[in-house]
Amino acid sequence: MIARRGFLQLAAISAFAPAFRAQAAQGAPVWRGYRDVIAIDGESGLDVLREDGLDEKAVARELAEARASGLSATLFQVTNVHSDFDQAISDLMRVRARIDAHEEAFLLVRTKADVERAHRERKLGLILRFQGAEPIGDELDRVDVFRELGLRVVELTHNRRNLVGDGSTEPGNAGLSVLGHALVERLNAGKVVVDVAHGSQRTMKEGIEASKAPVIISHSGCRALSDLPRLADDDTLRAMAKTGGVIGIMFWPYLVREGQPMAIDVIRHIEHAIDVCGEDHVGIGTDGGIASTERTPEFEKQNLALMKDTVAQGYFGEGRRAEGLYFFIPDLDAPNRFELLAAKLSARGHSDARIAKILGGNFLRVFGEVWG
Amino acid sequence: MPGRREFIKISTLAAAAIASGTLGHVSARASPRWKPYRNTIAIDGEGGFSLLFVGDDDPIVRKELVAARECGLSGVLLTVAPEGRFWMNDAAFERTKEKIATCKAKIARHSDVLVQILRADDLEAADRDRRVGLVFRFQGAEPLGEDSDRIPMFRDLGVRVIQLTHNRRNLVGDGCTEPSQAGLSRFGYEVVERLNAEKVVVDLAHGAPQTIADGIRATKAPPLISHTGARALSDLPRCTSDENLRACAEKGGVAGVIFWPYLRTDTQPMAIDVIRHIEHMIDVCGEDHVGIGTDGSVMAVERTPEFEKQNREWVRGAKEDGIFDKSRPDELYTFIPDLDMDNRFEVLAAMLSARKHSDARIAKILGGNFLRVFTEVWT
Repeated sequence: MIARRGFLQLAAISAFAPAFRAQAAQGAPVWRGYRDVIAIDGESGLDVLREDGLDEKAVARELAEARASGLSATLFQVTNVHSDFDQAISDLMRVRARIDAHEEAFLLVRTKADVERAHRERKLGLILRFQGAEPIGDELDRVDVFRELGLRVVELTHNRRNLVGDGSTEPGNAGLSVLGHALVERLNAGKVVVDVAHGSQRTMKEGIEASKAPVIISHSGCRALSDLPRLADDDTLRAMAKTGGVIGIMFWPYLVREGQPMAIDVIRHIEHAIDVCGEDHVGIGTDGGIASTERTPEFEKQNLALMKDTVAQGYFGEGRRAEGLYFFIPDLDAPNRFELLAAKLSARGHSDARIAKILGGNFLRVFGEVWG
Repeated sequence: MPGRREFIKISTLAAAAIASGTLGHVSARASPRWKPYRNTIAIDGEGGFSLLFVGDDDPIVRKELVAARECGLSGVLLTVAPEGRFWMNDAAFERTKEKIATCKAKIARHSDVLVQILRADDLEAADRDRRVGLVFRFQGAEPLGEDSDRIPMFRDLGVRVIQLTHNRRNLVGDGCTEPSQAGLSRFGYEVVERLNAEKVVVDLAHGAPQTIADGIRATKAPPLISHTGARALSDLPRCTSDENLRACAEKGGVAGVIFWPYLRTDTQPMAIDVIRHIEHMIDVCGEDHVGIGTDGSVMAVERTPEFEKQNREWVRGAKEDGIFDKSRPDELYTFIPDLDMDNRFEVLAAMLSARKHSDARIAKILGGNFLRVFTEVWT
């Protein structure tokens, strides 16, 4: 399906990432259909919604890049992992206030129509979600409370065990608990999307099996290509697709076992996921900031320290070197990274219709179905 | 769904509360007697007194004080937390501290019959003074939240045994009613290591099989499975497999036989069933690794018509929740009817003696084994 020659060309480009990056930042190469498609990131972040005390310049830059991203919506983690109920409520309300404060740029997404409106008005829609069901605790009525406040997606676990299931860093590989089954049922009934990203292999499988509505794996990758517990194996991908769900391919070092992944690796994961579960079930969940990274010496220093810590905890597998690793894809480190990726997919012969699905059409379909 | 009804202390508190105020306390000691009993340190791996949790003017207080004098127990593991729906927030943590303070105050008020156990030789002193020593423990690691530094803090407050899970999943492991058979989490391993370091006993009762197995493997000190049964005799999730019993024994630990309906899969268990489980465990892991953990109130239950009615309702609810199989009768009790007297350990000892178990072995089962573990771990 994919021309050998195209692959080599892309690989060659990857090898000269810094040069390419300069080009990417200027917004080329482009994919013509981009402004007409609804692009949705399965996980990304914005400092302006989270951090206190940003200066005006930083705010202006981020708002400009959010606009330049061409994204119609992103899933947004509204509170830290392991927050309790009170913390989650106050974080959620603060995020909403900040969305409102920048209504020229942002829009809170409650329905599929809101995403479409964000697209028309060239705003970024924020889809609020938890990473880890901790704020719900064992009080399932809180699902309705949070939905009322705007929450639309709940990832069952983050990396660690919670009362619902196991995260992917747990040695026990637990499945769903009794409470976990009850929570999935409640999320289904409450029209909140079940997300099993970050889950252990059994928690992902059992979450998918338990849900009556489409399940997403919002930011992950294909374990068949990179055998790490954070990613989803082919059986899990197929089971997820059977629910009508979507896997978002993430932009983290998980995508490869050695060295820093580049755009070609993102593409390999997208193409593998398409092969395994079909083009209707693949999306993108970068798990990075929307703004591009300013790679100052200070940034590089901090990044290396953070990466060393992450590597030491074994997240990216044994024997990984922290040097040269980033939580983004260097040759897609531009606000319009979805457009750049679309152009690359197009160059590899994927149809415009398929690319539109991957960029956001598939996520939008799931949200429409689940949110009702 | 299990969890709708909570079972911690249900036998002790519910049964005692039901009995409270209905009839005068009549059942004191019962025969047959076992002569060495008064020189034996008898320890119940799970039991309690309602008087710690009710008002001082509740009629049950006076009756329980009588039972405390008559029971002949030197030690009882007392659940001070958690209770009921319990999430790891700060309010729950504070509640636990309050409850511990309340228990201490009540024990101080009744210091002629009760004493808090902090060291192994406190149990010997309690035996000499004819007082019942209370060993504070948690059934479930929930009060720790996500912070293993709370272990030394709770030890300072007097907690000496921490059971990792109750029936449900928590952040440490799975309880036996969970379908997924989780083992210990990362945090669970950290908790076990810290319990060892802080000289707090690791208790694996109520755990799912994998959580019990992981807990035994992880601990460097002798563990307890404080109140359970032999799964080989009664194939229920709440009981423990021979494999886990052996592993527990190899670590120097003790499994206590429970007085709940888990000892059989059909009708109400009686004393002979308790004995069968004790004898099976002795066969599997030796007489140094078996004890008794009744999981009932120390005071005998008064079986009034009102009690029988409420008990049937409770059993029906427990069956709905999957705690007992639906095929079982409504006439189930969370005590052993022919051991429903204050001095049940003595009566059981006499029965064991009649079956030719030696006095030395009986003394180990009645409490000597638990005492050995406490001495090893707490010192």
